[in-house]
Amino acid sequence: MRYLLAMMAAIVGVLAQPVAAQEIGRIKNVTPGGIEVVRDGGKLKGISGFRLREGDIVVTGKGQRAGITFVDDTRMVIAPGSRMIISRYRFDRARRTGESEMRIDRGTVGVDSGELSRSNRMKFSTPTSTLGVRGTTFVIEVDE
Amino acid sequence: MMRQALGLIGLGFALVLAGCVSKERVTLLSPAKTDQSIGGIVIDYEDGQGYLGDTSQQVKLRGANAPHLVKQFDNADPFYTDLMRELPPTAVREYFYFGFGEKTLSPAEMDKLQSWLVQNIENRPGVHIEIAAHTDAVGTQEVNDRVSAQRAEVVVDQVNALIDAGKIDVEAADIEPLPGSFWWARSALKPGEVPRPNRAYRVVVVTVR
Repeated sequence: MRYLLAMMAAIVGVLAQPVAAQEIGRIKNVTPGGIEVVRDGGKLKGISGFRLREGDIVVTGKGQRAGITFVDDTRMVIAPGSRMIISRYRFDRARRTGESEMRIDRGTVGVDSGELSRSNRMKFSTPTSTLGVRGTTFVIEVDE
Repeated sequence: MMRQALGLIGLGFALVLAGCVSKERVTLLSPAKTDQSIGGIVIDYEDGQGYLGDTSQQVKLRGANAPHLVKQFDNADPFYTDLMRELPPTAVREYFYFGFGEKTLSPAEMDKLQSWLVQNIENRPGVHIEIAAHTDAVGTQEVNDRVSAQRAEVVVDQVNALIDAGKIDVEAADIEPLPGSFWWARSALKPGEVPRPNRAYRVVVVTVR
């Protein structure tokens, strides 16, 4: 009973957290040594299991690569020399809806879109264009 | 003076060359999952709109030569094929059903849960187990929230038992029970419909990513 109450309290705690603090996805397969994640101006090491949040900036250097799975089941591979800003990511895991906006500043990102793209509210931007994803698999490439 | 002029011409030439070589483009690939449709991408350029809707279509988003022209390739570039092999494993999801008002799984569902977890957690870097417990639409929100929390607890206990037995390698922090979703069953009711017991919603949905 005590365990149950603790778990309910944990669930309420998750609900009460501001959206920006919630986990939106995880770094999965990653090259040895990890990659860089910029959060609130600070640099963190993104290794396997690292929990991403809205607002994070994912940066891969030369020879670095990372796979990411988001909570809507979107999967991504971030190739070496890339910089991606997770500007907005909202996903209601009970109702299975939400929206996302990610900006590719440079590099190459492969995407297998998940549930967010079903509601046509998954967007990527590049320095010149905005891409509205309608449920699909694709690669974005941006040279600086 | 002459040297400066030549320097400026050289710089200008280099910038033009860089503009031609640099790329910004998007390429649509065949679906990564077999049950997925090709879908499409709507592109908003600064000066118009475009669309990709077929496999191996590519469009240049900027550049001096023919920007926004959709190219159709016969096969995917091997670079893209190799890149997409680096995607993380596909998330897997399974449903475990409860009897009406029941807070424990039947022996058959318990066996199914244990074997499914063991089979699906291996070889997943940064594993994340999401446990979403639901109830049908009968009863009050308060009672159903309590029942769904108890159902989630049953599944969490099983994951912990498998960890303790050394059958799966997962950290406790990688197990995430979600708030119970009474909303799911309620949202399926038509206006004025009286809620009835419905097995389809008495379920814990486990997702392994």
